[in-house]
Amino acid sequence: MGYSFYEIYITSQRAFRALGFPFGADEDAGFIIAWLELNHFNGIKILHNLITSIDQQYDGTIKIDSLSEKIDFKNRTILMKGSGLIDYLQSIINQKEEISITIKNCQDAILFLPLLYKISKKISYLELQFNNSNNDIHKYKIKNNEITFEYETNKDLLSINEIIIIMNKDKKNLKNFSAKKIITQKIIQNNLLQSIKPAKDLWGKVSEIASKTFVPESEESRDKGAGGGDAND
Amino acid sequence: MMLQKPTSNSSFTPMTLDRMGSRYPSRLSFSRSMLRTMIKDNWKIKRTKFDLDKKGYGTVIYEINIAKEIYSLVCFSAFLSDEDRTDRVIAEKWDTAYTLHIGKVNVAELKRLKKNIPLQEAGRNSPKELVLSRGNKSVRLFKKITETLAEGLQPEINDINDVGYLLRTTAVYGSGKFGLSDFIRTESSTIFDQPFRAEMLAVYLIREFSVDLVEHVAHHLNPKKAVKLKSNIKQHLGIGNSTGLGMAPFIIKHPKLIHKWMSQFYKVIQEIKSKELITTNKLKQFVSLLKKAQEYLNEVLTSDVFQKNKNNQSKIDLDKMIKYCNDFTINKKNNNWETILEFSFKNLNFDAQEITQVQLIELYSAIADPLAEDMSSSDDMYLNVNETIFSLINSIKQHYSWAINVDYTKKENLYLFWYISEEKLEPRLGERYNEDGAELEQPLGIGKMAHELYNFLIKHKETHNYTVAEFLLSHPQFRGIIRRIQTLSDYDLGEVNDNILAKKTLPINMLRFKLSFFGASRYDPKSDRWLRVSFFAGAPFYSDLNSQNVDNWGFATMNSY
Repeated sequence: MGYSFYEIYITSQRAFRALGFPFGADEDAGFIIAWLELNHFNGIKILHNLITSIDQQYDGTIKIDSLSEKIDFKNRTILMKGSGLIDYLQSIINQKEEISITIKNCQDAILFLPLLYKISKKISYLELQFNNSNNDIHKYKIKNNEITFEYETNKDLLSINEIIIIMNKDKKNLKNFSAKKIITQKIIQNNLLQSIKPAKDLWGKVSEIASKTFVPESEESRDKGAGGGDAND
Repeated sequence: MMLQKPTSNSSFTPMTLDRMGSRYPSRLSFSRSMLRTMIKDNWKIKRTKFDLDKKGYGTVIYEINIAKEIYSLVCFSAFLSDEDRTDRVIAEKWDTAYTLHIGKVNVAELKRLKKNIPLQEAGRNSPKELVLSRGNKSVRLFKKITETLAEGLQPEINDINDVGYLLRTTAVYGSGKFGLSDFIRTESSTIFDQPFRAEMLAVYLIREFSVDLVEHVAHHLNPKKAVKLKSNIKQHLGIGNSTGLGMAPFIIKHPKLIHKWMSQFYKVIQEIKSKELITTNKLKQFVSLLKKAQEYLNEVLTSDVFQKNKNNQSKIDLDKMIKYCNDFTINKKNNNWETILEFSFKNLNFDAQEITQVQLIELYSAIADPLAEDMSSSDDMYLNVNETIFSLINSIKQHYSWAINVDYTKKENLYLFWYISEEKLEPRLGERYNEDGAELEQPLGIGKMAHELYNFLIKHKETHNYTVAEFLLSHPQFRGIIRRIQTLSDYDLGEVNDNILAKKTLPINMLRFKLSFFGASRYDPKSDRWLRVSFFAGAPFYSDLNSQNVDNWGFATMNSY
């Protein structure tokens, strides 16, 4: 069955709310999942697989003592901590030409991609690197709402569950952006032309979680609502 | 219930609930701008399929040719027993169901639409569908007009005025609901780049269908004698709409869009005040428009006592305005519309003030109409990550004084909660101290959240030198409300300046606000949570529509045709 971007977003956002995410964090996490699902990065599958570990476990706090040290996510998901970290990096980029940080104990690195994409109009160049399970380094380079992808063999630079994020504010120092673009505005518009089709069982589970935010309507509410007391004319 | 009192001067806050509930449609309303665009861009509409049986059950398609694009309104009509006919959103059957589809409809698509569209929320749509709607007959008027036409007679226009419509929509969905095209896609790849323009086209064509349907049924009742509705009578027909709480959260959830609508409205008023001088002719036209509004108020029917009182007071206050204008001396020192608007703010109730403004706008199409084509705005909210908490506190004091001074320990200020109903996934309102479910409250109580944030920040002086980004690293629970407050510091007409959790809240004020921008008329409240309105009442039907009459139908009365 096919769904719109809005439906994927609102159902995910409600699911996060049911899982204990506060107002604002639920919207960010819902956006991450919907963006990934729209663009064929299996957002719903990622959310589905995280449900047990995040249910009523929300912790979006981050302790940053120094950017020279690795930031430890302590295996808490990017869905909780990612937005705050990206905001913080944005706030300090003005003082630096380039920021490169490493995050350790962090799974599902792809969850950072929508957050970086969202700020790519404001920051000249962004890069997301991580070690996939085949010991390849995946590199997503983002500039002005466009994303390229390339990968290279890992030479023990990055451990599993380690992620590097690079932000560069100087347009003159743009890195190579010649690889094939996997995301552009046009590609996103084309994706919107198609119904989004998450796997039925995974979507069913996410919808079930979202439904925990619903309330049975009271008789009084029904009587006062549209049509109540005067159904015909 | 107290009726509003005039304000002492023109420096008011337009986004309080009582002001919002006093608004009227204007040239900027979406029904008006859609029809203007239809004429300007030469949209061609033809009925390409008319497959109804003698009782009016079957399928009808209207094709709309716009430049090189084609859209199709597909209408399904089916038998509905009287006991199944209800305006409630929990209904599962309707007299008629509709979709606005991108392109021509082929056989396979018609089969798919026929299977899904009559099911409404229970069916599935594709990104090729822009709008999903359904409507029920006004049994009383539909039957009366059918029988009258079948006898070769015309109905009395008074009968039409009593009800206002043959069909009444009970939902008009768009923007990604139930699989429909997402607005971010609709806006960029179809002709419908303004908010609710596709919905307004669908509603206008449903009105056309309502007349085609009644004439068809009348013809088959008595083929030898039946006649069609005369233009001057049918023009008074609108298309009805029942609207409930679903509209209210939209206003809270789309504050940048609401700011855009309001700022465009006040931009028109401001430009008129600063650039246009009163002339004898303009003043005469203005008085004539005020009288037309007064006549409309005389004719419009509602059973709601509060609305009746408002309408009566507005008629009285419009008299004051008309007298003031008739006595007005135009000279070099006194030739600015500001003087007249100032009089309205000091002497008229809110409704009459709004009527004064919308009728003034009617006089200046060159100012208003281009702005009506620029009513869209991104919904993106953003954090100003480098703002200090100290600065944020000042911003809250400046923009949310209406919220931070409320005592939320009092039950009456926290009495209501908004939730999503399990039955239809629609927004509903509960009473916190009498009903279950408050723990699942939707985050729509912006005033309360701003109040909580403000008090937290005041108590934690150690945070005042932090940037917002630094603060949120340790207090992510405030992310949503800070993002909203920061974003809306640039959009000061986007926030409802009232505590919508208070016991005294009348949600219907929010519905009327949104409906006024849609262009709805004939407000008929049925409770504090739902109402009936009409769209396009008085607008020319497509066959009569032209550049001369496309904008003449505001506040239409029985004498307008």
